[in-house]
Amino acid sequence: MTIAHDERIDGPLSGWQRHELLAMFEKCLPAHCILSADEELKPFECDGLSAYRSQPQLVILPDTKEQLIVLVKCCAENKVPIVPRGAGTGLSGGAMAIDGGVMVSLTRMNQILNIDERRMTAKVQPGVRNLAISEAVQNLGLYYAPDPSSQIACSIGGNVAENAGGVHCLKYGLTVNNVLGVECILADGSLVQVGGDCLDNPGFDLLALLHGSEGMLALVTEVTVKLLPKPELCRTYLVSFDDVEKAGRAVGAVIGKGIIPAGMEMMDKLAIQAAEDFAHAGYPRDAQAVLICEMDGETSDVESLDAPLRAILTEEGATEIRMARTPEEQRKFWLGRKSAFPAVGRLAPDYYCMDGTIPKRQLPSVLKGIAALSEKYNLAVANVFHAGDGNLHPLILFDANIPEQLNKAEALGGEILALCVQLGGCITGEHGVGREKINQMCIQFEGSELEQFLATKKAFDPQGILNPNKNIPTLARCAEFGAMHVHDGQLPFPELERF
Amino acid sequence: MSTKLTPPIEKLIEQVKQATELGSSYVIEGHATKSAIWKPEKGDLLSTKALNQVVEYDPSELVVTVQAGVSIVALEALLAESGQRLSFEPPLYAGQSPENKGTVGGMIASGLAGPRRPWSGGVRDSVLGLHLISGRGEYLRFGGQVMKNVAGYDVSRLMVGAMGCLGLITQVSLKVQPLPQGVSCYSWACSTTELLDRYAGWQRSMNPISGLAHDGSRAYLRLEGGLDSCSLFASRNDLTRCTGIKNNGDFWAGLRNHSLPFFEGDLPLWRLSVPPLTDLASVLESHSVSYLMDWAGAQYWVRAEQTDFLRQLVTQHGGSFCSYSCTNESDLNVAGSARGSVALGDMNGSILLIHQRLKSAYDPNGVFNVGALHESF
Repeated sequence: MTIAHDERIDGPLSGWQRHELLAMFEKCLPAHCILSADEELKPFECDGLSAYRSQPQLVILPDTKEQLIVLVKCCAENKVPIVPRGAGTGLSGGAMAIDGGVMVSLTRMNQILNIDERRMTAKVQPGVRNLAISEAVQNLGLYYAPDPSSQIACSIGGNVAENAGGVHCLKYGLTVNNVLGVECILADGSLVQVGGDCLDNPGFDLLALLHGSEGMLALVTEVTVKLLPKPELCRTYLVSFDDVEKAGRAVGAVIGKGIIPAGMEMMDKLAIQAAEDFAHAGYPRDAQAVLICEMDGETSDVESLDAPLRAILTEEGATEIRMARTPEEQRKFWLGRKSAFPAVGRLAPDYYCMDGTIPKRQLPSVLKGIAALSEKYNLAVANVFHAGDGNLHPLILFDANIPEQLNKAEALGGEILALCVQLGGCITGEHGVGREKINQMCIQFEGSELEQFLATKKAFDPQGILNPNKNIPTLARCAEFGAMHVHDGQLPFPELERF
Repeated sequence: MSTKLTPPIEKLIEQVKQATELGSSYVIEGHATKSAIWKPEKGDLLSTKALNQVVEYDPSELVVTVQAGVSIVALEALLAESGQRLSFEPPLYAGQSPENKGTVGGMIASGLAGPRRPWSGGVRDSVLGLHLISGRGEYLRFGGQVMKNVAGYDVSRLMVGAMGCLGLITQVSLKVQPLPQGVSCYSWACSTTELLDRYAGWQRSMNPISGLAHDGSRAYLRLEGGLDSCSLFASRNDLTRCTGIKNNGDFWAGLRNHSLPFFEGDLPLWRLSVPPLTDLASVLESHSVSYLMDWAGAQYWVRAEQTDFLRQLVTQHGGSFCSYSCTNESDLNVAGSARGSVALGDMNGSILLIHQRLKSAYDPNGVFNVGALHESF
């Protein structure tokens, strides 16, 4: 079942035409903020999930929050849907344009407003790149901890919208754990502060609710982030296994013994070989799985954990434990992992990245399940995991030029996500639902829960103009999706009318 | 994925549905240890006592799932058996009996954290998922038992500190952390200002600090981490372990649980939440009030009769304050008595409107804890 907007089940579109929108915004915004020519709009037709494309009718690039307020007020008055977009690196189609709406790109609002050295915080605009924050405070010996793979390009506003993670979130948390406050514009155009410089604030924790809300509750105009001192020592281990399930068990063993690595990544044989061909990182080609285990902290602590870590890994059946001796070697260990996606991209013309999460102890079961599904669909799957926190990124290899292969890849991906839910996990750990996983939400949640989400959205945005139809499916969509996946002869939501 | 409901939960759902039909309200009650900080308008008591099961605990996952009526003391004991703990050090206030020092449900609903908060995060930072009964009597599950989950809105964290206004929490999954290898405590005489200035320097590089407080005359410092990093930090900074180690450990428990002598007596107790490293010492001393600084200057406990200068003080620093001694009905009429109501009263109109709309979305008939967070809902 397609994820494309279907007015019958997703609700009616606004019906605004491009020339009408253009006339509307030309009245209230400077001309240089408005893109309306086809060649200008083309780059905005997709985010990092390029399989789904939809060219916006109009893109607005505000320079200031004052312009953004004017824009939101105008949209609120005329019921024009707004699709916010940061750097466009998202992997779930969260920034996919909707017909009859306007896209707002926040990339011009890219100033670091303040660095508070004493309190170790930075206040930045939403278009500031994730890595740019760490670069700006490097001379102070500080950094911003969350490090999604796209950190060189992705923006902090997008990080808040997706509650971005990264390879170090087992120890340092997600975006929600590292942001103290945001200033944002609500759906009626009012500018408000949520959270701030204190460690708690009276009232509901709206700050937490905004994280991962995919631009559907408010538009973020400023973000105050926590900065941390850089670790004194950082050691990276490359650990080989002759069996992928042993590697999975080793992850749980290390953590169960009270050792919390800064990062714990896992790759299977197909991913290892692709990464090695691509990056020449010195990965063992004959291994069935490798773990990249990073330990950081105070020098004495990191050093004292070396022996216990090696002992646990050996006991769990590691065939080789290599510790990076030089910064160059350390960089290489990570290069292999960080280039896993492009490396796998050389194995097939296209790949489709999944983002399910499971309890770590289910790693062996999920690996078996993925292997069986891979065989069933006759599509190869390379596995790259944030193993420490149970976040899987199976990469499904396919060729979009072969008829039906994209559909097959989507169906395989959908089954992997359903497997994650069945094993006690969830359909997305860090990439978000966006438009991509809108159908799988019907598997994760029951109708009453989806209705509660929709009511939550309505509390912020009664008219439904902020990034509508992302993240939360309508019950009508679930009814139709459910009809295709009938369990035990029971049709989910049989009581629902279709419209 | 559907969930099989146990009889106690089915009974609670039935009770909620009844209240919806009758138009009556409930006051959700665990161990009733936090009556000093909140007071909903009247309603029938709805106890979470029957929700007393540990649902799942696997130490290698760093996740524990328990029902709302489980006592915090029992949960911490369970975790300790596997060398783990709750990172946020929830306060254990004295209850009606020694073992009743708070339930997990109350811990989530109040969102209160102890002295480790600035370094290990608050309750919200440990919550991974929860189940709740909405004001419509629906059983809803949000989040999950995994570290990372961005499917749908983060309703689980919204429930932290919501004072039970949005639903009855029935179970919660929490991220836990390993116990540190070493703990050491230090105390010495110095001014609050001097302590905060030293801390400003310490925090710029890695350190094992997990508690920093001042009682108006002495500094208190707690280190937790590797054995070596604690002793190295102490020797580098010329800290000598205080002689009464035991007493000093008691200081941290007393601060966490409000059992220090400071918390006894009749003078009204106030909590001030301000940005970290805020130095309020000279202002508080000029008003001759006694205080305890906690959270490296982000939280102050103050005993004072009058509140005007406290209001001014927190406004000036962009913080908030609330009462911790709303023990009788008349207190509710004093500005700033109910938890957080001062700042909610001053709240931006749009934000207050969202609060009211959220209340309607989760509890449209006002079944749960009416007035516990704000007079308007």
